Amino acid sequence: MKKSDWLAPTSATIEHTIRCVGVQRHYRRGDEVVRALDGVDLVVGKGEFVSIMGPSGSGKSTLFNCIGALDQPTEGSVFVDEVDIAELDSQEMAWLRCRKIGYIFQSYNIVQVMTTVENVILPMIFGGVGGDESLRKAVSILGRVGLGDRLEHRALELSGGQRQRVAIARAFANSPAIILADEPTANLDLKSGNEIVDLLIRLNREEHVTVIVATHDFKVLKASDRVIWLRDGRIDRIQKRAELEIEESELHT
Amino acid sequence: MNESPFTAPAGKTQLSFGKIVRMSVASLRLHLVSSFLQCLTIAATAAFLVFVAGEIIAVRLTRHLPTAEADPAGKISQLLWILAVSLLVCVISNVIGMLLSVTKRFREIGTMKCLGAFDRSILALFLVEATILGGTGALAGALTGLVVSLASVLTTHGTAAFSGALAGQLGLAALGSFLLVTVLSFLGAAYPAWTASRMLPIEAMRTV
Repeated sequence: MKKSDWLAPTSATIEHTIRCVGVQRHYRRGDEVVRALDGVDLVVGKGEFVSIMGPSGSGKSTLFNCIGALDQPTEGSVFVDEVDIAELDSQEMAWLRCRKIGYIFQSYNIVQVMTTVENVILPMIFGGVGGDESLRKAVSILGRVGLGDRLEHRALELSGGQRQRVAIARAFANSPAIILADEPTANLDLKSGNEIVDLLIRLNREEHVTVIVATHDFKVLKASDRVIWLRDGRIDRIQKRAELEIEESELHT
Repeated sequence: MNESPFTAPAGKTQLSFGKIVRMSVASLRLHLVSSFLQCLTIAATAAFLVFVAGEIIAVRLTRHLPTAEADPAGKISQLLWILAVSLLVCVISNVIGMLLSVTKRFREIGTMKCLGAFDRSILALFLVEATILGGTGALAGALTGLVVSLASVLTTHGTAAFSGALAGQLGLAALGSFLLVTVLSFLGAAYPAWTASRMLPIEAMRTV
């Protein structure tokens, strides 16, 4: 496909935001080639809540990184809004990461030396929103994630759950179409983890953003429209919510 | 039809120069202790360079005085060795200091890339920061070195040693070491910042 084809009028009707075609990611470990991803085909629709599940080493994080333009597939393509991200130059890539995608990581990755509100303003600065407008927006988002009274705190003064909320607020700062979360609850206790999951679900419903979560957390699974099970770098099976509910009711009876 | 939907409407620039300077100063203040220590190291090397150069200048310009060195040529060759070694120390310590201080922030660079920073914005932020840090340290060091040199000449040889030539040459030595040390700091930061700004975000975040 040529780049011009994607911008043809027909593509405007397509409602999926992410499409992976034969995505492979190989790593070299000495002489051995590790196939972290070994041919993943996946389509994620607009506004969907999708979980990526699988044992550790199954390629969850690698798939997450490839979808989020944080890593480059060795083979195959990832399309975001029907644009092959491999064809973007570094500036377009930056723009994609800035405006289209919000990232949430297991280890929060908030800038330690900055205050809560500065962390949320940072992506807006890169997105070209400055001054009072960015401050107002940051304060409003932080209020929505329940950190309205922690605006001037730094990372060291916050609990893990609070840090993850800063990361969520930061991910939503530029009103992205896609939220990618890599094990967002793995470093948190049960209660904070549940709060984070509830927050993600709420924001998914309210903002109609596409949410993709790589996770082990069953609370996330239950909230998902679809669960993608990975095994050895391939998609093992895909379950829809209805199937999940049946399975769960079987467990309870 | 070649235009991508992800092209920034603002065009090529992302951060204005003023914004970059403000962010760099903020970052230096946030890393206050390590910035201060690094500044001190830079200042020390700059001051030592000026001092050694000043000793050489003094030996050459005070030959006619009764307090002159018995063996000026021998003393100068000895001082030239010290100058060479101190130059080497200066290059190594400043470049490595900057290299390390940028390298330990690779994760921050990766995070900034995830948040949509352009490669050149990251490079600009780190270069401005290094130049401010290096420039401040080098200026403080050069001035200190100048004062110490002058004081040393005057206490050894008395006020008779003071001349326009001495002041001019000491001034040149101070200026030279200020420029050299600033450039070294800049170069020490440029290499890792350039490398990191071009990495895939995930690579930059995985390091450290």
